[in-house]
Amino acid sequence: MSAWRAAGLNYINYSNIAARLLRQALKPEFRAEAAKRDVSAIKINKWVDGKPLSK
Amino acid sequence: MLGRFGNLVPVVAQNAPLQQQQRGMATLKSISMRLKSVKNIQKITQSMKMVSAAKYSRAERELKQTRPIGSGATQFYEKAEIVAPQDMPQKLLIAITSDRGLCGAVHTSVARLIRNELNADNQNLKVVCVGDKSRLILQRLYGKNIILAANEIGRLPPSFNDASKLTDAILKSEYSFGSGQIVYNQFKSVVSYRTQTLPVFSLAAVKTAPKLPVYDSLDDEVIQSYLEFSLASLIYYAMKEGACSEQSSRMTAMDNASKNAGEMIDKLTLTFNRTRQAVITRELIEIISGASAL
Amino acid sequence: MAAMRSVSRLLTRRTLNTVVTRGYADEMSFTFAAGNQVFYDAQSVRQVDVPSFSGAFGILPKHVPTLAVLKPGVVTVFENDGKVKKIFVSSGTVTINDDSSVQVLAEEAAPVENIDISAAKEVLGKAQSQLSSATTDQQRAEASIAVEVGEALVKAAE
Repeated sequence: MSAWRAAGLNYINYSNIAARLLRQALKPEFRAEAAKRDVSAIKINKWVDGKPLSK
Repeated sequence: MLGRFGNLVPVVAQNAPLQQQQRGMATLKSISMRLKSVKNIQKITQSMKMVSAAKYSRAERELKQTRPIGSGATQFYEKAEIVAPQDMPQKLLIAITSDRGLCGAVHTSVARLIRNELNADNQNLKVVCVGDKSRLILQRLYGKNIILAANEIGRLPPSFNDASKLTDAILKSEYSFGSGQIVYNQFKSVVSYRTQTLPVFSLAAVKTAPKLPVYDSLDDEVIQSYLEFSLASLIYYAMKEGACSEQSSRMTAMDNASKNAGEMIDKLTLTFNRTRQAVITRELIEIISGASAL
Repeated sequence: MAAMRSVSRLLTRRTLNTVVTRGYADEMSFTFAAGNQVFYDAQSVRQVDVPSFSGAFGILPKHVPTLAVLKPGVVTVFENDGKVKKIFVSSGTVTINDDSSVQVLAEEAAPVENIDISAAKEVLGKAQSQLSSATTDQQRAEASIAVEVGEALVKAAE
């Protein structure tokens, strides 16, 4: 088993880190465009018994 | 008794000539007020249409870029002929909608499909609501079946990051499911979309697939990572399809609303002019009859 | 005969992106799509080399069906006309089906020439200092992923 999975990460986390770093390593003219893909507005709430689990 | 008398008053008032004149004047004003508000509404719907037209063209462009991802991610499921495992009846439904309304029936049709599934069996089904709209529709009856609700969707075009955050949350939700479905609206053309489902499978389902041995040198970790990434790709693809359907549907809805407002404006202008004419005529008659009475 | 083959090839090309394709024995239908860009959509290519967790491997037509998970690195595509394209992928999946269709899906991908060597070195440097200052298991795992990506980036850009 890979070290990252043993540490509680999944491939999605792995992929996210790799994609973010690739975007940072692009030439400046592509970097600005790529940085737009870094943003994510989504908010996720857990629900239990028909109610959102308040933080 | 009093109530009946109260009912009579407006009838009497309407029949009185003096009241009628005042009512006519008031109508003229109320018509012009209504006319103004309908014109304002038309302006709003028209600008919303323009905005969603711009958003739609971008969403469609991006959708074309995403389609290979969606078809690529489903290919393995289809070709390996994976079916839902018998011994794991737990299912997961992922509703892809957004936070925003005024776009026809896109959100309700997704929610309806899920509600039908829940009506049939609400024991082994859990729902992930993406977008406030599906959550609002489902929470009253099936709030207990919701395990995750995501919002802040629809303002910006969906990104892969959104999809992977959602996938991460699903994977870490500790709900073990045998199979699942992503319910979304597939974009057909500007005027049509279809509510579709994409299959999702768990590691257990894939491992028992009859055609899996055809695939060479697999270990569980590879399949698990593969499935995790596939789920993110599928959600990303479904979000793109959903966003495109939503914008196109909003565009059509707003176009219709502008047209309806236009018709109302025409009718109201006609009534307004007629009423104004009637008022002028009546005033003239009053003056003339007043003069001839002297 | 040759004419017939080219006609049928044209036909398959046209239907490729809508239906499941049945590739020819000596051809593969190669799809390479990333979250940011589509590089190939069911095109026929000669060979593809991909970096995966079980080691880098080359895919030729009629490759045995398999699944693999991508590791950050360079995907090399040998096109039919002899052109060679090198594209850096962050992560993703490779699917090889029994009908010779190959799908590479990546979260983020960019042609190697778009990578800036100094930026890549900076990424690697940051990752290394992150790794040395990591205290928890999770931080260490994240940082070592970052080092892996950084090394691959520097290697690709050189």
